[in-house]
Formats: sequence, C-alpha cells, structure tokens
Amino acid sequence: MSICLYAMCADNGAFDLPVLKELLTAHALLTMQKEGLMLVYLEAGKLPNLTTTATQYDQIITHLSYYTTALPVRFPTLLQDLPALTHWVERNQMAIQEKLTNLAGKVEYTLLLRNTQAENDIASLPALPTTTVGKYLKQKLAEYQPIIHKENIVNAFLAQYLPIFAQNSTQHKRLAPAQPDIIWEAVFLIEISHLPAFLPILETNFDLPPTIHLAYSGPWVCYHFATL
Amino acid sequence: MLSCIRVRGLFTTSYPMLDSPPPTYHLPTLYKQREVGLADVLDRVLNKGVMIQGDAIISVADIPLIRLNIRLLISSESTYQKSLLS
Repeated sequence: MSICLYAMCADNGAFDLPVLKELLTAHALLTMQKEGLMLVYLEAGKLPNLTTTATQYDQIITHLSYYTTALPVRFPTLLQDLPALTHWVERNQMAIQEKLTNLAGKVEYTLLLRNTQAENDIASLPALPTTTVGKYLKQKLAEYQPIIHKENIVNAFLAQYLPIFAQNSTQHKRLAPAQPDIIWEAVFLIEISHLPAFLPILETNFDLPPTIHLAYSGPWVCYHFATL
Repeated sequence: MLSCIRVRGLFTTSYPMLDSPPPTYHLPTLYKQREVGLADVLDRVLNKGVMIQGDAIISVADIPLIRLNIRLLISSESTYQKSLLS
C-alpha cells in the first residue's frame, strides 16, 4: 500500500496527548517513530480528493505545530510503502533533525506591497521630439518607466523598513510576486517570542505612496523554510 | 476596531488596533484569527515544504508524469486518480 507522507515532526512526547491522538484518528492518520522523529502519514487509498485533502493537510500541520515542531512535506508526496519512507528518512536523518532544530518555535509571515494604480498611470512620460528616434525613446520609456518606478518604490521601502523587519525575524526570502499588482513579496521566519515586537510594526503607518499598500498574512507553518 | 488587509483578493489576518485591548500572541489564537484564502493555502501546500527526491517518491502535485525507480512504474495524474479509486 502506497502512503502519503504529511509531516516529519520532532518526537517530543506530544503524540501521547489525547488531543493529538484524536486529531490523527479523525483524519485516519498514522504515525511511525523513526530516528527520533515522528512521521505522520496516510494510506494513499484513503485520500478523498486533492483539493479537500490539501486544505485539510494545512489544518493538520498547523494543529500539529501547536504541540511539536512539524516539518511539512510538499503535498501530495506519495511513497511506495513504509520501507521506502524509512530508507529515505535514514539517509536524510541529519538534515531533517537540523531543520527541525532550526524551525523550532518559529512561524512564517508573508509581507507584500500591492500597487492599486494602473501601470500606465504611474508616471507621465516626458515630452520628446516626434522624430523616429524620439518615438522609439518614448516607446522604450513607456515600457521601462513603470518598472523603474516600482523598483524605486520597493528600494526606498526596503531601505527604510527591511532592517526593522529583519531585526525581529530570523530569516527572510524575497519571493517572485504571484500577481501583477504585487510589486514586492517576501516571507519572514519569526520566532514566536518575537511576535509581540514584530506584529505591531505591521500596524504602523508606512511612508508609502498613496496607491501602494502593505499587506500581510500569517502566521503560517514554516513552509518556505522547510527545504532540506 | 479591526484592521483587515487584503492579500490576493481575500481577507487575511486581522489584528486589533492600538485603541482596543492588547492583542494576544498565543500561537493557536493567532492561527484562529488568521483568515486566508484557498489560493494562499494551496500555494504553500502544493508548492512549498520538504520535497522528497529519490527512488522512494511516486508523485508530487505539480509534475503530471512521475519518475519511479525500477520497482515501480511511470504513472500520470489520471493514473494517480484511478489508483485512489481502486
């Protein structure tokens, strides 16, 4: 029977708690102790459908993270059988343990800058001669000016605020924006004990142009920092 | 008063402003307060996390054709769906 691996967790005794036992039972999840880890998996035949299970998966990993450090595995990762899983864990045990240690007591937040203004309204173009060269320059300016304008806004924002965010976070990664109106996106790894310092910063007034807004989401289990 | 911030068209975490009682930074409470869209969840769940590579793996979500070692077989998303039904 193939299995779907959900997470690799620190084996800190939390899985003896009734609340976790109930959670695992409710979702037909199984566990296996291996190399100081608790592996949480499901028999692949019990997966209902990908979308439903994917959302359940996040809820389960989030719930697990209340009690232990959970290393989420990209969903769905199907393995041939338990021996295939244990073999893989044995080979990667050091990296898994190191990652679990690094992510213990941490969550991630996504921060992004969104531009609510249409791109072609961002900046007026200078008057240029109506010669062929002038037209060409104007075309290129129209093409690049919004990009330069956005980069300038992002650079000014990062110069002013990134040190403040970084001061209260362990690590951060810049992400490729998922939508065209997002001009900057990054994910921050934050110690839970630093949240009282980090979250109020997000509620302050940022020195941004009127059409640019900072948005954030979190806390999340450390999906972006779980790569081995 | 609550501040709601939109991310990818959906409301996300709301936190009390300064004129309301001090916010709680208890992790389960923060998770419960978090309001995230399906797209955000799927983006993380399907694209992030530990990616297991090697002979043991059968499939990941974003690769329709999956490489298996000699013990296994080449499969596809449709085959995967069928295997779930069987």
